[in-house]
Amino acid sequence: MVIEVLKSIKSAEEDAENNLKKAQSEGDKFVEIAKNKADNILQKSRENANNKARDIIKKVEKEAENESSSIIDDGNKEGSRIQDISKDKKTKASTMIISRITEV
Amino acid sequence: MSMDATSNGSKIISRIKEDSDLETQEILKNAHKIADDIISSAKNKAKSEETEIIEKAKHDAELTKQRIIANAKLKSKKHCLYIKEGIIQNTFDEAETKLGNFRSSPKYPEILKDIIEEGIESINGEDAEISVKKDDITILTNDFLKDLSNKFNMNLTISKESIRSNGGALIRTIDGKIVVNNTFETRMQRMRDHLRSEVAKILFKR
Repeated sequence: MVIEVLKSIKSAEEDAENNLKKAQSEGDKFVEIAKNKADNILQKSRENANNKARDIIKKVEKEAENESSSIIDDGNKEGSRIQDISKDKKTKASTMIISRITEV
Repeated sequence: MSMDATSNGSKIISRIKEDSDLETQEILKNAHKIADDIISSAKNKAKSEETEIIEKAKHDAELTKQRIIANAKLKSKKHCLYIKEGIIQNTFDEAETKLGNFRSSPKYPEILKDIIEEGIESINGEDAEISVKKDDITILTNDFLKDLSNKFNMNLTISKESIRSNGGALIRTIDGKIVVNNTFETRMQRMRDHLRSEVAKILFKR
């Protein structure tokens, strides 16, 4: 009878041991799944952030290109204006040069 | 005795099971907590990385924008300077053409004499010879040479070699050590930098 009891206790201990191992293994699996999930979260987040970053740069570059075109246009207009205002003054300027060169 | 053994055995087995169940639950609970922490930490890291990437993109984009705009401003400024430079050059070209015709002006003989006198003044009374265009030699009368020689107490002669120029004269000491080039072309070269700013003022003043 005692031997039977001892056997049952031994069996219960083995079951407990197995259950613990099983739980440990299951817990390790949870952690492993969580690590993979975390990697995915980081990867997706990086992709998302990089896409947003590209969009930001693209948008600002477009703004800058528009502003730049406007500056170039203004420069061209200023160039034409300079040509216009100087047209009638060229004779006066060249006469002044002559007078400076010939005066002592 | 055997009944006691059976009863105690059952108690021990129950205890072993209870302990095992509790420990199992504890292990799984801990594993869940670790998993939750890993996910939570990944989310925080992701958020922080995202913020960093976007802030860097904003910063880089702003720098790129400033560079593009600065380049455009520079290009625009260069364009205007290029146009101004062209107009100034045209004006000097126009003046040079006018100088080519200036010798036919009635003022020219007096101007040539003044230019020669100015040149002689700067060689400090050393004997000198004057070179002019072949057609201008008649302007330099003996009286003119005599007056100048007396004024500066020196011997003054006209060189046999004439010069190729739009006008003006070249004065050289007899030993050749001092040469004053007062031709129109050289005078223009000498005065060009100074004249340039005056020309620009006349041309571009609003």
